[in-house]
Amino acid sequence: MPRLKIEEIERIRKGEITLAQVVKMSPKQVAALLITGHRLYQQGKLKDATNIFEGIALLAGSTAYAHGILGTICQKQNKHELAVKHYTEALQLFPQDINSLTNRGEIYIRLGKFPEAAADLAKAIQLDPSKKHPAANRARLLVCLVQDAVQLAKEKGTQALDQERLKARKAS
Amino acid sequence: MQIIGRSSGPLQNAVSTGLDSVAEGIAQSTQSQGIAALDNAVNSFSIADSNPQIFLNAQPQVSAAAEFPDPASFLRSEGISSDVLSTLNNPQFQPAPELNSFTSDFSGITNNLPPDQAQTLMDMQSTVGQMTDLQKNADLQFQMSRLGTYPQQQPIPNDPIGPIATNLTPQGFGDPISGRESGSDNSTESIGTGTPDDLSTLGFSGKGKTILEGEDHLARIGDFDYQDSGDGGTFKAKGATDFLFARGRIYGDSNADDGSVGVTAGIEGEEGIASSHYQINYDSPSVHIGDQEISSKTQVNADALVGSKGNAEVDLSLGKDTHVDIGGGAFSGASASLSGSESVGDLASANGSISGWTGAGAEAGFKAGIDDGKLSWEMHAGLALGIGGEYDIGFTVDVPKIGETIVNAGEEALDKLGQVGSAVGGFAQDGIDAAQQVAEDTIKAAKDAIGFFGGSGAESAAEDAVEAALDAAKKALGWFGDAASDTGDAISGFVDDAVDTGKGLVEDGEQAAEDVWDDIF
Repeated sequence: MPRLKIEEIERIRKGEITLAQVVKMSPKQVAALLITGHRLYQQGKLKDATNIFEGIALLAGSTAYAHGILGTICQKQNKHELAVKHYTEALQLFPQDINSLTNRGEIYIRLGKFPEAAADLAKAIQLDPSKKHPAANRARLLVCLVQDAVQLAKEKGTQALDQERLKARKAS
Repeated sequence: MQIIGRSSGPLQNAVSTGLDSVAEGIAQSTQSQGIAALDNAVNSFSIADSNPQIFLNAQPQVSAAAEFPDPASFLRSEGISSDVLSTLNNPQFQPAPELNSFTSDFSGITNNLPPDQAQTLMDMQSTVGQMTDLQKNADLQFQMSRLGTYPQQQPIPNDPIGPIATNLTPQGFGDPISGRESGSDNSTESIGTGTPDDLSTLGFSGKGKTILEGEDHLARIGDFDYQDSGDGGTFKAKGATDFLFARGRIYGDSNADDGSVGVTAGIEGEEGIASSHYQINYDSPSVHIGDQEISSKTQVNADALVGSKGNAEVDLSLGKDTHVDIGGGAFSGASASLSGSESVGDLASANGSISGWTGAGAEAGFKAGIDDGKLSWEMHAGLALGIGGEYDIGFTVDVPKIGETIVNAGEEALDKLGQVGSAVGGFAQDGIDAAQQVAEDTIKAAKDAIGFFGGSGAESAAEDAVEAALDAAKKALGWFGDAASDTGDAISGFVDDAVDTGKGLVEDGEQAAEDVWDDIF
């Protein structure tokens, strides 16, 4: 493996080339890593999946997919601030990413940041006029739930909301 | 108050997890802001168009909390074509060799990277290295067991790599027995509608034009070719079990278009202790209902292999897109698979397959929805068998066609349709029972043959391998039976519901019928 040259470091810093190009990673290798990382994520092997996707993000430059799925992993681990950071990075690279919008919106709801949540969920819904995208439908469901829950909390208090939450858990 | 407490079916989990998030947020904000937090939420969410009716009147697909799609789906949604996306879209792509080649030395660049970035690369390299090592160990154990130098072929206990291993060998290579690529379409059409004439070709991929083909086996048993037809329908069954066999095939293809000249050539072969291929077909008599001819078609395939299978392929293209690809794959082990399909006219179909093999894992996925009026349900799930396996089962129901048929049919015909619908579950179960018997007989015959032909060391190891495949098949059959039964029940229930609805529609007239169907679907 040749050593990294000064000019290569500079070009990487400027975003002109990626580390993957320097180490001559092939598209097939990137694809193999993406598939493997996603399988590990599906199996709940979040640490291993994180290792893969953080490596991909570093080698292949900023990729929306790597940041999106890293956000999801952090969200599953209740690392909400870090998850928001990854989703935000993913959305800077791919603003139409409905999954990242919905997932970040749901974290904002959890954090009680309703204006930010509403903006993300509204955009996710807007991007799916055919009502077929599962993540956009989750955004629609979350909006309905917020409106229902707020109404219930206003009428009967937050304890009534907790009871509904318990009922929903049992039903699922 | 529309969604809370009124969710049903697949929506329940989404409502439950969503409500957790919402309640958490409201609790957090009311603690710090009091009742003003609720007004804040109302004002913020007044901008979003919620439309709760879609959850009350239908069952749209809703993702789970913190869910993210697979890389190919995501990259396609980005709308940017790339070599990575092309690779992900290629059903022949095998990740395992690429991962093996990825364990390259990063020391040249990590020395010049900030420590945290260098650590990131080393962590990734370590994870990839662990996975490839585990796979190599699994392969080595089996090779040693076949030579009789390893006492027992056992699954790797608590295999930390789990289902990924599936992807590294049998799945990346495709179904080790039938040659069908894993995840390929298992619809009735792809399985075929007739029994094969040449059993020796069943284990091969069918790629290219056959240039040379040969087969040799020491013994063949259970060879039967049976066909009968009458008022009760048509039944065909064909199959055989070979012992101490070897077969091979050389194939090739050439083409010249778009400024390039391409040649593909390959060789594939199998050798081993036992190999079985059986196929059963049953076509029921037709029933005329409305303007539809309805009949059911059942097909079951059972395969088993104790041995090795491998291939090598060269792809050469000169001209506009000049490249040379050399690839190949191999599977060594004991494996068993079943696949089947069930269809009722154009109205409904069910299909399924299961595979079990040594030294492998599993994968899981689920997809359901309505597309162009067709309700489809697909499940492709790996079985945590300890040895490895997968099944893939699903059904499709053409909703508009059922509606149209029911509307055009008379009252008596509707009752017949109900009977056909109820029979689907029974047919599916009959197919499973038959396939289970064939698979068990095959593996038993293989065990007997090993006792007759095998040497002492190899006999023990091979018998362990067969036992492993038998266990895998039995466990998989249990899952498959449950899944098939559920599928049959689902189709039967669906058609029964459709019949009940249809009876109402006939009474209310065609216009009313269209309205109700629109409401339902």
